[in-house]
Amino acid sequence: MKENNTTCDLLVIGAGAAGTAAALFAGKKGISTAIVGIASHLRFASGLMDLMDTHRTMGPFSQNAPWTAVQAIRTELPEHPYAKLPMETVRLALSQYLSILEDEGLTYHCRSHENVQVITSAGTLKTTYAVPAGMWPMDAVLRQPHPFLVVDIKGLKGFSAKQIMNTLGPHHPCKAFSVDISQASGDFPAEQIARMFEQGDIRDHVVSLIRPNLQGMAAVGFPSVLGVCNSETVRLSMAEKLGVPVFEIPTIPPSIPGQRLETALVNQMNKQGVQAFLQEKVLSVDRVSNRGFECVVGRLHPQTTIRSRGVILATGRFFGKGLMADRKGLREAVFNLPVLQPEDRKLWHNKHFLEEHAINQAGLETDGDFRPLASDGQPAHPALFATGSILAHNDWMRKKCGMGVSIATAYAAVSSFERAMMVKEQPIEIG
Amino acid sequence: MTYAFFGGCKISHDVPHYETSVRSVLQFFDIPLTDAPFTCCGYPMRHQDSFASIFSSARNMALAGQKGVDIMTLCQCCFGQLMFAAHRLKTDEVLRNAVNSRLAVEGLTWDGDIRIRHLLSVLHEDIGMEKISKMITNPLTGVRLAAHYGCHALRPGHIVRMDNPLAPTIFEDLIRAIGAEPVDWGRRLECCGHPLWEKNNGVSLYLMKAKIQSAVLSGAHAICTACNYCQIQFETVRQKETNDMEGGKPIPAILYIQMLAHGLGMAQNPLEKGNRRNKHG
Amino acid sequence: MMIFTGTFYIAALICLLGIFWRTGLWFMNGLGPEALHFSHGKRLASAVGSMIRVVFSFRILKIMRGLIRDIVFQLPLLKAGFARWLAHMCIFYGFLFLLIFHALGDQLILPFYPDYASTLNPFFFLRNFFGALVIFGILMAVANRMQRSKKFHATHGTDVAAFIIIGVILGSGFLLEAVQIISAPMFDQMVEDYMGSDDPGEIEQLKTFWADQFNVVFPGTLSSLDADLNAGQDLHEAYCAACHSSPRAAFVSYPVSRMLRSPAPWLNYHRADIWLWYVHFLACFAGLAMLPFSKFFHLISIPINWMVSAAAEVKGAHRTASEGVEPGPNTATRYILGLDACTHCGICSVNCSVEPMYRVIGNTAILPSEKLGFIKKMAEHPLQDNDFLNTLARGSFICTECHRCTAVCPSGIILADLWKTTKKALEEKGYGNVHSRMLAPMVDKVSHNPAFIELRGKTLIGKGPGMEKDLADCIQCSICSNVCPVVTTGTDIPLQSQTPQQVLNLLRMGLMDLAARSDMVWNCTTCYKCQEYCPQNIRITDIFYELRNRVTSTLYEEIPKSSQSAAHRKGGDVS
Repeated sequence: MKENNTTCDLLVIGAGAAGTAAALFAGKKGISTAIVGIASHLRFASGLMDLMDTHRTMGPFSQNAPWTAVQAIRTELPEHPYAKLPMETVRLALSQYLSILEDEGLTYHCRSHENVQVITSAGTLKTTYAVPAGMWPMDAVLRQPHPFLVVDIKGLKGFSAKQIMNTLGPHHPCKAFSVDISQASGDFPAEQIARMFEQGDIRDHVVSLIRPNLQGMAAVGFPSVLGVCNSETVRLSMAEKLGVPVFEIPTIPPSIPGQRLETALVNQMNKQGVQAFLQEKVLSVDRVSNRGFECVVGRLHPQTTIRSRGVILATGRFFGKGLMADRKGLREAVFNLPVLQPEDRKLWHNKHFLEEHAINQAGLETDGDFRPLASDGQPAHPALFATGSILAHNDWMRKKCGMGVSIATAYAAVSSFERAMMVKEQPIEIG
Repeated sequence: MTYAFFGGCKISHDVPHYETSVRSVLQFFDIPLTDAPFTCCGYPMRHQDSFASIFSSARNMALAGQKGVDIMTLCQCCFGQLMFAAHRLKTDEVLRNAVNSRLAVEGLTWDGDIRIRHLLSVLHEDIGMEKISKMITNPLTGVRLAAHYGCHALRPGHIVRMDNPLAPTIFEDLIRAIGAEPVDWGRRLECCGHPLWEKNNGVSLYLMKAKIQSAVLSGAHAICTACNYCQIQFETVRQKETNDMEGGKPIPAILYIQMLAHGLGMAQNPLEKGNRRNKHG
Repeated sequence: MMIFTGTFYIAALICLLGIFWRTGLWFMNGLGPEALHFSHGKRLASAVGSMIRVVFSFRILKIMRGLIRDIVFQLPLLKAGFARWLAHMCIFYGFLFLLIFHALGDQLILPFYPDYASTLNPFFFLRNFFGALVIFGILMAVANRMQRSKKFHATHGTDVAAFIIIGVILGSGFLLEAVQIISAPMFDQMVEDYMGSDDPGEIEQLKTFWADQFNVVFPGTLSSLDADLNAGQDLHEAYCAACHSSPRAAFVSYPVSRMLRSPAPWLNYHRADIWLWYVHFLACFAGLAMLPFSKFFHLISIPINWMVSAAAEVKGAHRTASEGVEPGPNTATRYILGLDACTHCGICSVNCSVEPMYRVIGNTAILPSEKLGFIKKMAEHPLQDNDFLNTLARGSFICTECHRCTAVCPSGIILADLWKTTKKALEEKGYGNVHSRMLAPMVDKVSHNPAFIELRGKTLIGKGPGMEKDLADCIQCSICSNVCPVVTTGTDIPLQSQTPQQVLNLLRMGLMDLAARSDMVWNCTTCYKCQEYCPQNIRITDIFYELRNRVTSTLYEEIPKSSQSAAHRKGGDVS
């Protein structure tokens, strides 16, 4: 049972991609860590891990080279979070993160020098750095000329095989097929479908429906609902029965790959001995001094006080509620740190939807060690760090670098914290 | 640390061996228990009248408070309810005053001083894994158990605060402590369905079957429960209503305390038929 | 004497007829679905058959043993509390022995003790002792009941009537005895009938003795000389002592008679001894006649109930209801018999697990002892109005079936069985628990579902505090619908008509009424997964609880009785 007060070295605020990554990196280093956050936000992940997906230097899909793009960004956008890290750190962070997931049975694949090709639920093509094992066959299938079958499940929102076929068709031949396993007419949530696929008899039924349509098909693509856990077993058993490779196509959020990611991360945090206060938030910060922080944690009402020597702020942007927006401007929700933002609200958005929007560059400015800056331009606190999408100069949705930034900056912040703890001289006194 | 034993409504008639096992095991570990004139915790009433439900909880807590002891409950619905009521009373002054003015008629008062604990927490924290393992004389080696936490002990996490609501571990720890092997199973955090029994039996049974099926698929020998409602659902309800199960032979559900009692050499192996002492198989 | 004998026979006849009628009802009345399958004749035949079978089997030994435990020693009552047990033992045995040593003295004692006379000791003493015992028991019982009244008003007309009848019988008995003690006219009559001498001098001496020792109050003055007293005593020994012991042994009546010395002349003149005798025996016969119609029917129903329970292989102290047993023709009979065995002692209600709910909600049908009254009424007259059925339903479905009431009932009634069958009966009448009423299929059978007639067109709930703020935060992400175990499909369970996400959307739009009628709200298993995983901190499960609370309060309190149609009474047919 949780105590009313707890102490640790490092408190990670936020349990999204950056927060969980930071907690795990810290745990692995043996730092006594606590994490507070709403972990279920991870269910909004598609399962894809973007490093850098869109940049003018990137050619058509077959030459889509993320590391080159990252290198280019570091030069062109010196304020971008990637620019604050040596390339080696980014590589190390990603590989350590993926191996942590591997330890939990969630295997990711990448091409390392080239992005992987994936189909989206709209039927468009996207590239990404790493994909879960279930989506990996998609890359090979897209690189070969033969058609494949796309299957949708009646009742699953946001995924239509026919639409995928219509959109993708010009680029790659494919056929659409619909399967009904619900015998009902309403919404069929993804998790329920996924659980049904864990049952052998359901799988057999689906296979029997699909088989007559397999003529000439090189593979079969499903929405990513092949089981909640043991998804590889589910997928491979279907592949075996169908006689062709089976792959998962990412769906709209909340998605099952996101859920699998959440499960893997939460379980790993347990194993690393991270004190988790999940589905709770930091309601207030009671004390900040050179000795550390005292944060009050709870869901709606104060329940626990956490004392820590350092804090990593990974509260996210607007969805994560790291940044709060009102008619006047933006503010940072926990420490009220200054937020880099357009001077005027009128300047937030571009008139054209598909152009860049200034608001998407808003966030916290930091020093080279990822300490957020106070209004005087100096780090607000020697042991306060910020990571992930709360960082400014980072239009991660447009550049498609979300996961990469989250993971790499989390890694860097943890290292910075570790170094800060080893520093002997007195840090600046904060009131 | 003396605890007031909170049996709830269902144990003395439907699962009497739950109480007797708990009393013997806790006596073995020198945890004194006392009794108080408790009534229903109020959980079944929450659907109908939240105030009456919270009042019942407050009254029970006040009775324990009068004796100066904390409450230990064996039922997870009772646990969740008492924690829920305590939370509401702590954070809502108007409610607290209304409840206390009614309690005053009996000379009782709720002040939130006492703790409410579930049996699993008492075993895990008050006694501890090490002590339990040391006292095991009949380790359940090779027995695979699917730990069923039940909903109300886990959620809402910030109210019950018994374990990590997304990835709890204490039940698996306790299973390891008796030498058995906990399995990872897909529906481990799901509801057994009993809150719907006699409200919508079809859905209640569906949930129960889904749980059992998931446990069967994971290769467990039995589902391990720590709540009388869950146990009744898996055992009595199932016996009454259904006998067929997809995906293999249905596995039994056993109260953890019975496995522990057997491990300590105080009782026979409940996995062997005839030893379970449940009314129906 | 004619009046005495005449009224006795009339009372006895009424009593016997009443007993036949009441026992007949055990086979005529029905409760719950079990009763419907078997005809009255079948039930009677089956009961008789079972009785014969039991009497000629070894079960009879178990029954005998049970009778000794439950009737002679009344151990279940002792378990409920020492004070209650003591009070009842005093009343029961006091009355029983009064019956033996007083009322039926000539019939029961005389054959064994030819010298029996009611005015002899030890009978004076015994009468008073047992009478006092009864009064002591009554006082304890009244005190107990008043104590309990602090918790709930649990005294009915029948309870008061019972106290009154015993009070009158006992009171008039003691008064009668006191008045007989002081009665000069009775003395004169006895002297005329039994004294072997009519010497006025001797009579005077006897009177002196009797006035002095036996507290007879004679008109005029009597000698106070010792010589006369001694002579009187000799006379007494000769003519009276064989049948008359000193009344001082009547430790209640004698002191009362001493207190009556001043009004004695008036009482004697008006022959109070005769009047009181009438009052006394008429009260007794009234009690006898009313026995089958009053609380005292339990003298017959309780022993039979215990025997039947024992015979039905219902287990010992815990008295588990016979589960898994197919209801037969005896089941319904057992239920009605059980209803008759209730003495309204209230021990069940004192032990009831949900008694605190009563204090908040105020519905008496929550309390077992009161609920039983409702059920009894329903068993006798199945067609009850909406108010009655709603009240009973409210109380019935609060019961958690903890079986405490069943375990303590000193009458041996299997209360848990009664509660279960009543719930079924209410369901069939359309007064099931709120969940089942709201989940009843709306398709096609609309007009046949009284609950739906009630709800259709009525606004169930309005906006309330606390919900608007939560609802505004919902971004319709559908995580709640994904994690919900109930929103699922299978070959036999259809998808919910609405998912939690959709219900939340209805609420955001202010369509509370529509949201409250959604299956999802009533099929929610309260596992709190949605609330736990919601990224926007919305208390979804608590909102569903809130909706259920509001519908419940509307159904039970706000929908006016006038809107009820005949469908409610019949539970089905709307024409």
